[in-house]
Amino acid sequence: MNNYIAAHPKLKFLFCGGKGGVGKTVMAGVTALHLAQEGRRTLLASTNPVHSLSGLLDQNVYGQPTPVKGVPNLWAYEIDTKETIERSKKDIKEKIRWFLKFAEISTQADSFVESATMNPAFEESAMFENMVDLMFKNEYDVYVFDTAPTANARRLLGMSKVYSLWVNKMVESRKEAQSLRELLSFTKKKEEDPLMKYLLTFRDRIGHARELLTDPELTAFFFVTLPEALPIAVIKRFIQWFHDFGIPVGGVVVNMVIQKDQVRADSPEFIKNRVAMQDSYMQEIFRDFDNVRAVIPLLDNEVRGVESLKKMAQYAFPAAAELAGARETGTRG
Amino acid sequence: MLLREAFEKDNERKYIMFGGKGGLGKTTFSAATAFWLAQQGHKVLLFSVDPQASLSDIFKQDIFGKGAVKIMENLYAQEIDADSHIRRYQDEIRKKIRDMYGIDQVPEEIEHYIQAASAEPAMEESAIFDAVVDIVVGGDYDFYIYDLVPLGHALYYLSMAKVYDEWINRITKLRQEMREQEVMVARIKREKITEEDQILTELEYIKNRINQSSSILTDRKKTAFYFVVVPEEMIILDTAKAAQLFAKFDVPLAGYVVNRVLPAELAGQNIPPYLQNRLKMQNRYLEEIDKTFGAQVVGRVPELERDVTGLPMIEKLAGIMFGNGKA
Repeated sequence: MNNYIAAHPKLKFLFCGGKGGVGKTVMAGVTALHLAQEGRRTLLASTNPVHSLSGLLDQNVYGQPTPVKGVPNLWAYEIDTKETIERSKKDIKEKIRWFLKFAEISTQADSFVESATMNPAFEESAMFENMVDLMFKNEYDVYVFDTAPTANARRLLGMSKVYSLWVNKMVESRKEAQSLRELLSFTKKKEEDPLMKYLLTFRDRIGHARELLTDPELTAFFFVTLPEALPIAVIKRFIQWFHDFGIPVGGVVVNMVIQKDQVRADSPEFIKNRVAMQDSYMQEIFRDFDNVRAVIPLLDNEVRGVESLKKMAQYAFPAAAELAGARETGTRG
Repeated sequence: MLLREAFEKDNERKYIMFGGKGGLGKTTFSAATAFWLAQQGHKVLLFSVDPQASLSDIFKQDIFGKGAVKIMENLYAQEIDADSHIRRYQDEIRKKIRDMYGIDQVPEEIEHYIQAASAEPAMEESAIFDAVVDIVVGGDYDFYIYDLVPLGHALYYLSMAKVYDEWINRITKLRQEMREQEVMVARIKREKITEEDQILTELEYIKNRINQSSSILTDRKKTAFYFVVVPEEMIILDTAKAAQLFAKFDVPLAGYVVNRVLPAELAGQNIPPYLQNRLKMQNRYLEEIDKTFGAQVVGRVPELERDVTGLPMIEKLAGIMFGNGKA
């Protein structure tokens, strides 16, 4: 990790992605801690509707950027995603009501909106909006996000060409409708077109977000995995997508690796088997990824509080020699 | 084990779904259930629409976008490629436009719209919806096991089906009115309309499919939805919340399966520190699960000595879940 960060001095937006339950938040916390200790004003932000930063730091950081106790230069912020979701729910509800009325459909909009917003894609959109807002505000030297909005980034960046085609199309037809209206109107007074305004803002936002997110000097996505088949397969797929769309991938972090010095001759078979499994996956990881940045052990305790983060930082930001050591043990099995 | 009884007792059961947060083991449970049913002599299809699907990984075989692939006797698996469905969709739309208006090529103006529409999230949704309907109304299998994306999706389908249905009804009515007028005009002009109304036929077809699939999803006899939980605080809370919503939409909730339970006998042995603490926490949360979900907990599945991939491990898990092995 430190090599990558040293080699990218302008890095500003860091993300941690991966399958559910692999420890993305912990990894984000450790990275932010490290950057702050290097003297950069760092914001550790969670856009995830189910927050775990307060739990991780053992301090309430909900609702506003809060200085992290005991670490100068570090702020943490759990964004109120519920509020964003509620706001867009209200917004969408109005649009749907209008549409249903227009189409003379008698269904109540409420239950439809409720279920539409249960859709994982909806939550992710809200997260993405919040994230983009923070990025645009530009109040810190560096931002670390504990969740990589993978599907959204993929859709937004991979399809943004088609997106702008679509938005342009919409803008065009709005313009036509507008001029027709002006032509027919008696007053000749120019009307404000809220839909048009929305479309144009939307297009500019996408363009700007795309610029920032595809700049390898500024942005890096790190992918967290466990030494297990499914989490490995998931990040392989993610990394492929990201490469295809030109989103900079910072590298791979392997988490929850059972430390061999904890396993003794009289340890139960259960443990020995898990370690054997882990060894073969570690081999696969080092064979298939040339960008492993850190190997982090499975600790005896949940990572909680700044002190345990500091302890973990030793593993996440190892000297190059230590990582080479992990590679050795990985390949030897 | 209770899970087995449920399958043996409810012999009309045909559609099985495992739901829950990401990373809890939905896919492994789906695969093990499919495996066990296939072993019992039923013809089973396990399918997924998740672009992050793991069926290929769990069976160690690339099945993405290849239709129903035979895994072993009676067991078939399918990963739906939504993008290719969207492309097929676009082709169909082009064909329909050409056929309806009797033209050779879709006008450039319309072509732009068709392409731009592929960026629409709703396009992916309906492509997936369509693919799922194709599968479940196909009726070629004794059991269908649907590996869901994390939470919500089943609900989304159900409520969408309702709106789609009304929407289609509305359009159908409009179309019929138009048709009547056409017929009347033709009569006045003493012309004959013989061709069938393609649009009406199309609408009827869509309507039938939607009704069929939504009635399947809410049929208590045929469909069973299981939640996967693990003994952790946040997961228990989130699952309870989701279950309430599911109840509101009449999803036939058949029970909860607890995953990743550390074997109790580990406690007395020389275990590494990382396990000691987890074992301590676990008992408290298992109690919490029993208190929250009570008699609806239909199974506890232990953490295995390795992750579940490949048929031998799937078989082992199936044995544990359905009571052929140690439980």
